[in-house]
Amino acid sequence: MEIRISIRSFLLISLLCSQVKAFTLNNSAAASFKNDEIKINIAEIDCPNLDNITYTDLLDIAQEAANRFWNTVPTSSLELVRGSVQSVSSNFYTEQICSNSDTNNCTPNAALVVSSDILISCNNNSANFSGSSHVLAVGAPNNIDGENINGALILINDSGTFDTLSRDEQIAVIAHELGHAVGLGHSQHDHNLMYYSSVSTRYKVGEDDSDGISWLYPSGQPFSGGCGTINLVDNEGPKNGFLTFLLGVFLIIVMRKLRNLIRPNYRAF
Amino acid sequence: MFLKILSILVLTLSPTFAEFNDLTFGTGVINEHIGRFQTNRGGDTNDFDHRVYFNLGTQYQLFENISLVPEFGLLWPFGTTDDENTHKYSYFFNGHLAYSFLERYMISLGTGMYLTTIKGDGGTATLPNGDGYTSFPVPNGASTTRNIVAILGGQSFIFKKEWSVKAQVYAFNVLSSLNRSFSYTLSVQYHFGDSLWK
Repeated sequence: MEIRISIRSFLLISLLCSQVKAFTLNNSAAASFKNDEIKINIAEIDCPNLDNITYTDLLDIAQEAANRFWNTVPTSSLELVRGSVQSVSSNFYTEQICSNSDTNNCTPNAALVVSSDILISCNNNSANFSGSSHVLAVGAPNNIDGENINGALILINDSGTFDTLSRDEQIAVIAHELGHAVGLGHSQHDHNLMYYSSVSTRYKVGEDDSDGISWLYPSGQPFSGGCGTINLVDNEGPKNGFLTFLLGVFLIIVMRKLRNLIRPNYRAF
Repeated sequence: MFLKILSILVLTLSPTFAEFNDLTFGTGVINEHIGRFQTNRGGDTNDFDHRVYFNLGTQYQLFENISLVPEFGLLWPFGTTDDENTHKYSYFFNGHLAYSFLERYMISLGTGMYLTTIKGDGGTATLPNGDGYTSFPVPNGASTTRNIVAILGGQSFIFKKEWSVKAQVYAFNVLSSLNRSFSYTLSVQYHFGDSLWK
């Protein structure tokens, strides 16, 4: 069974361009979380139709989604970590994530703004899910300040079929929405997690997923940590100590070679 | 700073016969991040997904059987990804300490900086989203990832001393159980100078 996943995110439309690209973003500011370590919290909301999934189960699923997908990308500094169960307003169960209905330009509903990290809640407002039980969840950063995401929200469709999925599919669905929460849009290739449709054999990220998360949260070894900023230009800079080290080694070699060149018995390559 | 001081000490205190005595050019295949990515809808992963790479290296003899081997390499085709409209450039700078033995073999242990630049052309892409379609922004600009890698290598010359075959294993994020990954290279090298097969 093919199940569709939808998002409503902060999109600025350009109707003039329809060329299909690879990985995409879900906001035109290319925003990302400022910190590399982001918690995934669960809203303490009663979900009548998801009653066989406890808060602990949901935390486990979210943690597994992070560890099976996003935390495995070797070239990204992003780390999604298990958070806690948090008390929230009942608005998170009933309200729309966007205060308008334009999926290309979502204005966040002020009642659902997440102050920090990522919050997962269930929700029964059909407008969030295109009125369809096949749309399992939505996710978007809903607290953006310039190029920084402060908080993001994931809503699971309480009238959907999330609880009937296999555990692997539940993990993949939450992982997909986590991708939206950290700033990614969809991929056109079906072997990527960010493909719009759920696939039962989804076990790892695809290349688009890896490229996207690495673009937003590039690993910056050996000096990474603390800053997960996006880079609209090449981010080579003075912090690249290893390149400096290599340059130093080459400089010494060249100096020694120059010294030896003036010796008549020097054996050059 | 520690690496810089260490390299300066090694190179300046090394014996007087230490010299720069080889230049190599090589080509081969590389499999990046083995098994890390799903490659089709069925769940297969990139276990044998090879790309061509080229490398340029040299050897700086420190002691009789020990040399320093700096190396630069880049993956080819340069700038390709899963999708032709996003560009990816992978390249690396390595430094190895190599030990040669039995006149034809060399093993090396080293570290390197593995860089990947990912670049998008900007604009938007209209893609399926739920029951309809949505225009998603495409990244505009480049971002470069930097990974320190640990490298284990083996090399043996073949036929003549101008030619050798080389295999290397790259370990990314060695200390992380979650995103540790491995890549390997298999290549043929041509030696322009005196090599260190001693």
